[in-house]
Amino acid sequence: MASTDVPGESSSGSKPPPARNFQVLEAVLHASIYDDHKDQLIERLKGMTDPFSSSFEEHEMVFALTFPESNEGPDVQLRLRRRFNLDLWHVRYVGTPIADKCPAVCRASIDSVMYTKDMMDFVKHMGFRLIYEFVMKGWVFTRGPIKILVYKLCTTDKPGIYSKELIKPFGTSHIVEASIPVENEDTMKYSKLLKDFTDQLMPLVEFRKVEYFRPRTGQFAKSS
Amino acid sequence: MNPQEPPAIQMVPIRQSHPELLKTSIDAIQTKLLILKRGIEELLFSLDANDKVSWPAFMAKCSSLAADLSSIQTALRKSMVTNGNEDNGEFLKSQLLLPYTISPEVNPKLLELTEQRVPCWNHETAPAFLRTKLDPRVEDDYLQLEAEANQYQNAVKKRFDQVSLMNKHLESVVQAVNEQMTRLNRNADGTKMTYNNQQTETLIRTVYTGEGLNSGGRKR
Repeated sequence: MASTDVPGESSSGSKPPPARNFQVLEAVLHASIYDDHKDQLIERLKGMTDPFSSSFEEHEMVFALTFPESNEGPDVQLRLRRRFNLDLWHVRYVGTPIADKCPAVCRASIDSVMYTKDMMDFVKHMGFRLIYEFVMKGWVFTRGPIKILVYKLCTTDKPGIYSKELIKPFGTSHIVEASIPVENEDTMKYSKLLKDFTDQLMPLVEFRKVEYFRPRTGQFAKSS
Repeated sequence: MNPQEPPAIQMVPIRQSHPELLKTSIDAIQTKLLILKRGIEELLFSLDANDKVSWPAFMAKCSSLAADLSSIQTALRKSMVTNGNEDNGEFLKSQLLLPYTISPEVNPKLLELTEQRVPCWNHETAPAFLRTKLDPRVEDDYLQLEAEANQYQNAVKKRFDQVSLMNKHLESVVQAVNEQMTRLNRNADGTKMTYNNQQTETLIRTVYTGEGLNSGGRKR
């Protein structure tokens, strides 16, 4: 049975990141599901995953260190997540995905949680600039090492102001993200594990390796 | 003026690569042929001796003779070298056979060797014995059979092409029907799609690259 989250109570954000060890590599698969069908998916996931699951609503800001003169490839991005009105920050570094033949997107990922009131100043002085932000609202499920997120992306019309009235959903689908930490750099094995698990959710959702780091090709298989 | 009698067997001073091998293989052929000849002789004697010969016994003898013949044939085809590798008759094929002397006179040594069957080695007997071409009737049959086989091959090829063409047509028809079926079904069910891959792509890109979001570039 899922336990809904009690607002205000949190120790490490709504995502259960391992506080002690860094997950260096993770394999990720993405899918989406229409808003009207998300309940079916949630029910299914509740059956398939560990008993603990929680919902979350967090505001994510993405900062980047830009080097205008150098050509060092994509900018270093830092993702900061917080619940509204809380000073607890979940800082995440997500690396560039490795372009290989794995069935899943494999990338480096480092999580860290801190409590501070001066986060914005801190990142500004580090040289990071905000490039975009959004709100995610959804649920997180786990099954052993596999973590599944089902969330809706929301934006606000007036930048900076996140009152309830101004938060607007983005798109008509929820994002579903499944990830698994990779040990020993054995990306194939863990990607396959992940794929085997996510295939069980067919035909409700289809998990694919979305290569978001490549430029858009323009055509796609299914059309609504 | 007595012309020297041509010897029955002429020892030709040509250097052979494996004279002993050749000798053994020819001896082997000879023994087998002798056995065969004995068998045929027995058969004919039995026919001459009795008016009625037991049919099964006769048949048995004939079949054993046939077996002997086929064994000689296979042996020749493979290799007469008794303990050698099977070279498909290459060894024997590579040997040259030359008629050394052709004379119209009766050759007593030849008579003796061949048990009074071949009196002289002249321009009639030599070609008859050294003939490699098939009997004309046999040859005609052979050519006819080959022509028929080719015909059949063409017919087979044609049938094959027809069948594969048919298969292709069927495939396309089946595919078209399938498509139509799924299209109809989908319309009837009212789009049971629970997800849209394009949306997936858009959303993921938004999350990880900030595409499509209208905020950005502002400092806090």
